[in-house]
Amino acid sequence: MRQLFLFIYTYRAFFVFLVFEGLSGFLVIQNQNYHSAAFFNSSGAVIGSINSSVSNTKEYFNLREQNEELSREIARLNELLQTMETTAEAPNLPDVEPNYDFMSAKVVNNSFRQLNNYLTINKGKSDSIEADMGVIGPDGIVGKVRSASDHFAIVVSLLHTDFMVSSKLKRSGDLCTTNWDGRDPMFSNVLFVPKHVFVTFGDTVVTSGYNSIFPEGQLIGVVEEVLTQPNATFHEIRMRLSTDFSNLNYVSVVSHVQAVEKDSLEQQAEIIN
Amino acid sequence: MTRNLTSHIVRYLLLLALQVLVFRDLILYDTAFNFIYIIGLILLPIEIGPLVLIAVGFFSGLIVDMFYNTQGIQASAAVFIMFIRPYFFRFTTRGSYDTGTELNIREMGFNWFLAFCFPLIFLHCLTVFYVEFGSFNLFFFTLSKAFFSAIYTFVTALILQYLFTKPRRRT
Repeated sequence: MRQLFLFIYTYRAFFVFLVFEGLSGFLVIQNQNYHSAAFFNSSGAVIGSINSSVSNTKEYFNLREQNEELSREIARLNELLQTMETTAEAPNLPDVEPNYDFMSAKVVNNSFRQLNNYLTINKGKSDSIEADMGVIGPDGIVGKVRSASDHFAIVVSLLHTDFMVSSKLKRSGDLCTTNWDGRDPMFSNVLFVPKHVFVTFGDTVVTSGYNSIFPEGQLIGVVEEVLTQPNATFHEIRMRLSTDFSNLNYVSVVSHVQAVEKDSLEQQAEIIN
Repeated sequence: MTRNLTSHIVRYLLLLALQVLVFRDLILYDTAFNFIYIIGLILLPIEIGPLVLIAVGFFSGLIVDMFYNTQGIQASAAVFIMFIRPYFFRFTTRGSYDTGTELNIREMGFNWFLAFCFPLIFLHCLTVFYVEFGSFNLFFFTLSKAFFSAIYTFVTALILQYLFTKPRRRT
């Protein structure tokens, strides 16, 4: 027994190393599954407030870009308003209940050059933000909420290698999936477009609206390059993302009003699980 | 010694703060990342026991992880570095060093600094990027990321060393 203790004592550094390495390995694996909430992330109160003050300081340096972004957004909304006004004059339009709630939030921490990127926004549980809500920027979709603390929320960025977005080609309506490959924050891959579908440079990819995270028809990106291998089942499509993740200041969080009802119905029917 | 210890702790904390506040956003060409906080770990006094070193490495890695939202990745790499540091130190100095020697570029010379710090930084970057990727797909992409990050971190460390250490008094 004494020998054993002596052995452990002699190699104590190695054993302590194993314990700490095992602990961090456990944390890494626990974090792999991005559906589960992480123990240590930047939504905590202390780190969240440090991040907010850093982003408040940085805000002064890009006021010009923010102004441009806002005026572009205003122009887009004005255009939308005009089309709404012209269609409202058409008779017998059914009253459509708005399906999605929008809430504005500020990005206080943003990464886009890592392999799995996250954003932190300054709205949390106290603003009724929950996991699995969609996040949309001024130019297109940004990600979905992973977990929320009282005043902050962590958003899984579109630039996360495990995050897949149900999308479709705007022109033909064919379903596909958007998934980032971890290389360039400007580009993403579009998967599962069958070879019989004609895709070309400049096709717009939008959200499909088949899951209750994003509303239908939100911009994701524009097809940049289509490769077709002779013996492959699907096209290899590279898409230029419409959102510029390097310059993201304000986003809106969308929540489906009847998300719970829709999901539980689909779960009941055993379509999804 | 106590004065030295305080200055070591201050340097360590400053580097950690620099890492999470400034260098987090200073990424060159989407490939070179800066992990300057690990210089604060590598240059801790040699008298500190291995258990304390590993624990300090773990917790500083965890703090950086919280800001990067990469739970456990930096921590695992920092623990690894802190574990091999004493062996590597004995290897690079071949056992001939005085206790109480300040580990900095003026005391130990550029050659030693390069031979001691660069491999440790490179190992740290390798661990970080391969653990982050979780597989050896895109092997050379990840390798180049680690290599350029190591160079970037090392050059930053050199600049900081030359700026903030006092030249050795000639005797």
